[in-house]
Amino acid sequence: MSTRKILLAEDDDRDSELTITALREHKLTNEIDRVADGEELLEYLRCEGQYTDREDQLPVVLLLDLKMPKIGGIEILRILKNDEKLKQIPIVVLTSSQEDTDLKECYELNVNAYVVKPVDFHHLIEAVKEIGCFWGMYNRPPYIDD
Amino acid sequence: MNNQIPHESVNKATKHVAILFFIMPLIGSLFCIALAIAVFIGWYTHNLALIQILPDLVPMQYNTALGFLLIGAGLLISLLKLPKIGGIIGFLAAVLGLLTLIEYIFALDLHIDQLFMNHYITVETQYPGRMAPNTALCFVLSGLSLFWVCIKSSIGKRIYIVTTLNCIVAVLGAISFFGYLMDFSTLIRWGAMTNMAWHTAFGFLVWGISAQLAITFFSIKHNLDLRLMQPMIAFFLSMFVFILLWQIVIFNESKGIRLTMKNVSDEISKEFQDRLKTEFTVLQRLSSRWVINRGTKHESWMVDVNNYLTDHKSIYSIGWINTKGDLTWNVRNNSNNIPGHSLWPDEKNLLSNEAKRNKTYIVSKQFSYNKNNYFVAYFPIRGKDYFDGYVAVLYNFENLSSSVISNVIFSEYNIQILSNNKIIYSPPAHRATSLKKYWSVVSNFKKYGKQWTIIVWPSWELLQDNRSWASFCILFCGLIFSLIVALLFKIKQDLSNEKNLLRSSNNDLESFSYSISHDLRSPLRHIVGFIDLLKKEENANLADNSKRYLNIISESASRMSALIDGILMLSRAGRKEMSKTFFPLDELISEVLTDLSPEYHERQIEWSINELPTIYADRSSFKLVMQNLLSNAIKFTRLKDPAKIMVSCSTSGNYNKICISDNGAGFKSEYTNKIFTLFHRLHKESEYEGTGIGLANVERIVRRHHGKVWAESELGQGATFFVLIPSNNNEVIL
Repeated sequence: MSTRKILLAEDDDRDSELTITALREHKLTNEIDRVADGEELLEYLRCEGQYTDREDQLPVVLLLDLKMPKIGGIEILRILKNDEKLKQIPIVVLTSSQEDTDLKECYELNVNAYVVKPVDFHHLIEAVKEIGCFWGMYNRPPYIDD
Repeated sequence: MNNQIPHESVNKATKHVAILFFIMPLIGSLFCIALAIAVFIGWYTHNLALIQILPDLVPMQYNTALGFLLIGAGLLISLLKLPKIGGIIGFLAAVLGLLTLIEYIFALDLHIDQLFMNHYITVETQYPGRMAPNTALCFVLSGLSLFWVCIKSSIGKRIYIVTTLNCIVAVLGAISFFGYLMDFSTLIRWGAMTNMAWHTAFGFLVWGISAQLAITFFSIKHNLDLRLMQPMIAFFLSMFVFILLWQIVIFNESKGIRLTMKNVSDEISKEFQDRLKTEFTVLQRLSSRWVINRGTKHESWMVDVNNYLTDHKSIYSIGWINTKGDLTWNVRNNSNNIPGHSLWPDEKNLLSNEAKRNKTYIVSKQFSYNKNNYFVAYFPIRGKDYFDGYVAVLYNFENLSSSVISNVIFSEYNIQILSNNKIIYSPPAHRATSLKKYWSVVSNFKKYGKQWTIIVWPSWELLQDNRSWASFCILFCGLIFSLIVALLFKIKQDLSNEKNLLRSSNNDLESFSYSISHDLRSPLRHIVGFIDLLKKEENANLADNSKRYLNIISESASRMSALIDGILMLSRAGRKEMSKTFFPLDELISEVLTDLSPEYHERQIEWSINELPTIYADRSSFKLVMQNLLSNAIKFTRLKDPAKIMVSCSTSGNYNKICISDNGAGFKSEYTNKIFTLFHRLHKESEYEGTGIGLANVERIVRRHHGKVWAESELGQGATFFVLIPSNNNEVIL
């Protein structure tokens, strides 16, 4: 079973760096891919555009930020949900938003988890580590061919 | 009028409703045009049914029909999206009305009344061919309404004015129309000038309503707030009802007066006839005695006649017309001071054979001399084979009439007596003749070969005595009531607008705080995160001081984050919709304590939680209150061992009073009010950490529950916080 990748969708470079550093703290075997906006995310998942040559393999988990340019997180969730193939991807929403509306909408769109990014870096590392560990190593994704 | 927010319900107005508001005025305007054409046809083809409906009713004048053609066409064209042309046509109608009004007001004749058509209807009108003043007014207003739609001013103002004009026209039409339905006399005769014809009234009612529906359609199309019209329409509907009531009351009052006057008129005519009958009977004795005595001496004649004259002041003179037809032995009544002259008309024909056969008295035509009216009664001196001329009695009409009319009647009423349509008695010039046209009651009788007419109308004093305050009160109260109703509608609108403004402002705040929760936190996270990475990477190379600096930076960023969280929570608590429910307070407290357990799990705290009742509040925000207060209690008892925290609740009447007391640090009582101020702290961050937001939040939430929160404390001796909230739905503002 080839180790699938962890896909991080995050527009902010610094947040992205922090998250990836935190993930790497745990020395996960999964590779981490990052996309910077909604459009790029869809191209990645569909192996289109700049990702035409990518191996068609779904990530083991998608860490999704809600506030992204071009296509926002909530809209991405809707698109993924309506796609027969892509709706299988486990999604952890990793966002700064504490708004109840966002929370409610995300769960209605079948996310697997909703995590609010803590300001405190230590807490961030802990949270991300545990997420990465669980989804990357322990949880089995729903892809049958694995 | 300044804030025109497209009203939600307008946007939801279905297509069907909008079409209805287009079709109905269309039909209305076509009706007006058809009405005008029908009346034109009536005038040209002399078809009276079209013009008058019923023979005694006032006809619709030609100019009125012309006016209807103009306003009907104007409305139609405006509906068909050419409001400017409609406005010009309306302007023409207004000019027509205005010219007629000028004719009335300044008593001019501008020759427009019969400009197009000669007035040949026989119903008596004061000015043939001229429309009623209220009809003219309605044309001015309706024409103006069509014209005003095109005027360059704010749409709101235009709607107000046009609605007002349409309503006035509709109400004026409706009042006349209802007047016709109820009774023909009261409502439509403004000073007994030409009445508004029945179909004219109906036409204005239809036009007014159609024009208003057209404006409504216009508003719907432009997504305007339909409620702008409500105050005006409410006002006019209300005024219409009150004017109707007022008219009914006046009608009843005038009915009473008219009845009385009819009685007076009948009484006078009876009195008049009786008097003359009596007098003639008495006077006949003169001639009878002459016949019996076959003549009389001059001296006895003088005595008799003088007696008569003394008793009958209305007789001017009594004389004898001899067989030659000459007047002799004429004795004038000295008690009157009419200058003397021989007044006898030439009545030689009295000596004709035919006349000689007359046994009864003959009454002559009246004649006037020196502005006085007289008539003569001839009593034939005639017996079997005997004729000796006539006793001729000259009567003065004025004197006769005044003697018939009692003083009482004279003071209260105005009487006019006509003989063969010639006025023989009239009230003095200063008496109110303006009332005559509207109020006069007429009695006719035929006597002595003449047609007598007695006209009675009331004096001003009588009218005022009979006018109760009821009618005036109704009108006045109606006006006040209508104004209040209109004002209420306006206030309701304004409140609704305010609410919408607040709601949209609230929505703005929502998106603002949403932004904050994302955008402000990110940089903070980066500061903290990268400082940490820096510390990790450079741990070996950093001096202690440098590490300390980095820690300070990191902690400051964390503190800023806590502040932002606090402010966000504060604003959310203020904005959120409250949904109050009944729930057990002890459950809430357990939840809060569970949530707070990380803060005290290493400490010894003696909790005394008394029996707590069910309270009525918004659960989620009240949880925040309890969370804040308990968190404070936990925090400020940190230095006490054992820490004691007590929670209790008492219910009295309509309130629940919750107490949270601790044996912690306490504070000076003079700071009791200050602690609820935003950002106000009583300690340094190093003593007890905190943002200074918590209690401000508590105060805000409790205030939104219409409750009160306060504290009692002494420095070093703990603090007790009290929260007072209503225990049920009957909200009382404290």
